[in-house]
Amino acid sequence: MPVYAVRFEPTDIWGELAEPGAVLYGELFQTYLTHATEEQQ
Amino acid sequence: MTVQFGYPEDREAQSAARVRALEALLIEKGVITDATVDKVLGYFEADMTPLNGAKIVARAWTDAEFAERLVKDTPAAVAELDLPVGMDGAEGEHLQAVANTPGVHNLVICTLCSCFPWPVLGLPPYWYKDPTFRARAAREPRVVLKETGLDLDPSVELRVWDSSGHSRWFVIPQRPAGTNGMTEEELAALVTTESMIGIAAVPSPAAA
Repeated sequence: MPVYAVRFEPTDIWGELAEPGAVLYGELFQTYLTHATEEQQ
Repeated sequence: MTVQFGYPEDREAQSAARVRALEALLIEKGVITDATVDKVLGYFEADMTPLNGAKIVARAWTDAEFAERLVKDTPAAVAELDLPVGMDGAEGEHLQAVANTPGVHNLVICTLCSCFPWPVLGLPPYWYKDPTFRARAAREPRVVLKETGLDLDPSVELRVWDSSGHSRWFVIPQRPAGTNGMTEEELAALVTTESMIGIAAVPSPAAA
């Protein structure tokens, strides 16, 4: 199964507690991903 | 490491006692023999060590084309080197190198447990498995790096790679100043496990 290294912006995870200047790459197996809606795109 | 990631002094003894008890039970049940653990330990002491990673980094520092291949297809590039047999097994099936540059610093963590690129870095250090380190390095990596002695310039992008049961990341640190003319072997001797995790930089030999 494909595995994707997905880049997350810290503010999307930690909100206002996010540390600036860093990004987090998490690996997600394809089964955990869903197609983005037109609105999300 | 700072005292923040320290452990009780008897931690080794406690772990050893647990291992002895578990080993005795497995031998008694006939799952392993009395030579099994020694054989596995010998493998990690002699074959799967950070010396492999250091050799890979030193080659990347001296061969730009190899460095490019190493990032693009890590297992294939690693296979070019004369490293111990089995580098693509036992947690090394999906090795992935990421390169530090003047504008980008990479840090490898495992928020879930202790996923680690065994074939190139050996077994993970205690602090890498510490729940506090794992949590804080994900949420405030720049602060954690500063506490451990690596004060990144604000202009440097910090990329945190959360290892998983699939990919095993390791860092190609920047080649330090003052190393022109050094051989690959001499360069490899400068490379530390911490620098290949991204928790530290490789110091210039002039600073040693």
